[in-house]
Amino acid sequence: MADDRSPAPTQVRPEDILYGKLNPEHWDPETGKVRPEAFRDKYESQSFYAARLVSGEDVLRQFAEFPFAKKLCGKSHPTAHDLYEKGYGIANVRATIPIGLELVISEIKADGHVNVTAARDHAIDFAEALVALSQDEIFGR
Amino acid sequence: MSISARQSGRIGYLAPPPQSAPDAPVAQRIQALRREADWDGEGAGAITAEMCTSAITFLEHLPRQVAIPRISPSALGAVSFYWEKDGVRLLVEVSDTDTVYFQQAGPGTFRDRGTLPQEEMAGRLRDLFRSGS
Repeated sequence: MADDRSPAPTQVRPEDILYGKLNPEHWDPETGKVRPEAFRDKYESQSFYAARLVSGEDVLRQFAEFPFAKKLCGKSHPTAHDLYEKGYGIANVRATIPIGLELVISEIKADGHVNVTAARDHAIDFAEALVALSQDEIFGR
Repeated sequence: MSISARQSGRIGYLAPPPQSAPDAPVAQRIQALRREADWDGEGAGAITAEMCTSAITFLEHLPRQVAIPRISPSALGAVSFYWEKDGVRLLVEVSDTDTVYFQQAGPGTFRDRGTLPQEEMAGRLRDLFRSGS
């Protein structure tokens, strides 16, 4: 019998790891440190991805399909690796951080996408709780 | 005192983003942040020449002991400054001539954020860097 107290499969759990895309000016590939400016987003809800459903490479691959990535990489079908080579990265944060800050977290969609609302109001705490994945961690080498 | 004159004797200087020339004068680096809307391809706000000028003026009016901050473009359409000193982390965004948006973490568990007149923020920075340690 299912435990009714357990979160539904599509809800973020405290033990979840969330991935977020990093723009080139927002992290240091040498140290893995992430800057608070990464979370000062124009939109109140920011996109993260549940690591139990998608890999860091999957996240970069999704963004590689965006028009900005095609323009940036100069090709119609850039890869996740192309975007990484342009300075984009992946941050990972434990779900306990947004949960602890009592932020609104959406359910996890089938593609792993999660919206976290108002992370931009806690940019410094978010940045200090995150570490960027290494190239090997993103691409599984 | 001009920004360039204040670059010597930095306290807790933080390196600029990788895309900036490390030895470029600060005012030039800020002017180089001018961007049209959607500069990140994800809907970022424009960073206008006026915003850059406001940011330069804000820095120029800070007390001389305040270190040159890390400087970067903000997706919200602003020039972003970041200082770290003695456990205090301070993120300041300038987009007009009168006020700044800020977030402060530290010392310790202290947290604060909001909008302040630029003069008040200058005072906060003066207090932060008063010890000069």
